[in-house]
Amino acid sequence: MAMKFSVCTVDRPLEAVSPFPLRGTSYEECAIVAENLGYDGIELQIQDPAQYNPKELKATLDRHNLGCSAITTGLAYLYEGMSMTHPDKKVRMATVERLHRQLDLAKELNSQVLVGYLRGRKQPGMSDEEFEDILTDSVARTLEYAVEIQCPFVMEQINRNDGDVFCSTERTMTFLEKFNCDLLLYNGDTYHMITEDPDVPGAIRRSLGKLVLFHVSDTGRLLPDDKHFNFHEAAKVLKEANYDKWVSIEAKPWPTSYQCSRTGLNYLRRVFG
Amino acid sequence: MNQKLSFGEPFIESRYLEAEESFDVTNSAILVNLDKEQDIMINKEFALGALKALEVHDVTISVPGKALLIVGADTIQLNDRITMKSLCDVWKSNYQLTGLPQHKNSPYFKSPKETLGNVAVNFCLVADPDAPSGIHKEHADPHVQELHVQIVGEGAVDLMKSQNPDSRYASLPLTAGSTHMATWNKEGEYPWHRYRSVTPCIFMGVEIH
Repeated sequence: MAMKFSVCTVDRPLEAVSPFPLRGTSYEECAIVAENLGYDGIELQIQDPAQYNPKELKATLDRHNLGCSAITTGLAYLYEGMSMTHPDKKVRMATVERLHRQLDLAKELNSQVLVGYLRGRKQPGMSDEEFEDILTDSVARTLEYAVEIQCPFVMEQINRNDGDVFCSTERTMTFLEKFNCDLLLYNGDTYHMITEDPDVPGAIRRSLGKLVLFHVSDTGRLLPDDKHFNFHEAAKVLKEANYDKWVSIEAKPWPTSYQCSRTGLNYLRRVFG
Repeated sequence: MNQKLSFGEPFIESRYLEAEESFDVTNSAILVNLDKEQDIMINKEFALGALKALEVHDVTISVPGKALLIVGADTIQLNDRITMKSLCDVWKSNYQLTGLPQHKNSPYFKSPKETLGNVAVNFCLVADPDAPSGIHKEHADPHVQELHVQIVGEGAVDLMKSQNPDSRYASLPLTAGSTHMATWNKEGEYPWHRYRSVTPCIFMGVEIH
């Protein structure tokens, strides 16, 4: 089995700083292009699942022979202020409820829910332990539903510039492992590893037990150019481990969405294939 | 005002500018002045007239009225099979849009239309060379001012004596980054006219209402 290649997509006009290469006015458009380019799947940015018809979305993916590498949730943080660690319990509970609906959608798509930014930021004066306690509570509530419907729930490491506490692979893995749940899984991301993991091959090996999604993104959230980070070394670890899950391009759509998606897949095939 | 638009995604990036005193354009772009009267100043020394377009590269522009910036058109290779297929699959064919029998097998494919106040724009792929559109002189809005901005490849707007395809009496050539002079008169009337691809190409239709 080989790794499956995916690209982050979005169906609304976000600024180019958002690292979602493939863009369209609908996920149908994104799927058409992803299929033509030769991707195995796409990653969907879903702010609110209520805005989508799960069966239609599944039919779209099937029509274009694509899987869904993840339902990604950060837009609810960016546009609605939702957060799993919000100081207001009502907002935290609304966020958990939203995640339940995200899990329903992911289940329909035979996919998984990915949380990055939606876990929120540490409030001023809050200790690392307090932050972890609040996040633990929200994760547990989400995980309870994930187990009920048997849908994977994936958490991403986020570097210190964009996130708190769970920045390195080691720290994130330790957090995930304490739940002792096979459905709570890990998303490694080279963009965050560059800042947080001094031994990247070691970090990838450390995560293999829970790794189901690997984001490929260079310094500055650009496509790999082999000048800043040794992607070949990362790919070698994944190949040696016979990793056969998702590897996804997450980069700014430069020079255009189409060119970035195309060049990104060519790179994945050359280095990770 | 500086707004990213999505109607050309994922192939072409576009941005709407309105009353922007100073805006930096990095790398290459096609700049379209959508204002009927006011010039756009480029690097404070070159004035782009009303309803004109040109290619710019690493410049600062001052937009008192309205403008569109088209980015990434120079990355599109229409002789690439996957790119051409993707464009034809994502954008709607004339036949899909109208259902008219005469549009079956038409090489014209249109992006979604974006409306910006009194201006509507969309991209149009012409997949074949030397492929003319229908000859017409009336528009749905009798007061519309219609422009074609060439984005990729080469085309032309032909002026015709009649609806007879052999009655062409003038052509306004279009290369990437250019637009043509006004084809309407003081009363807003048009001669018989058509768009014609010279090479496989993409143009942007601009309707000012």
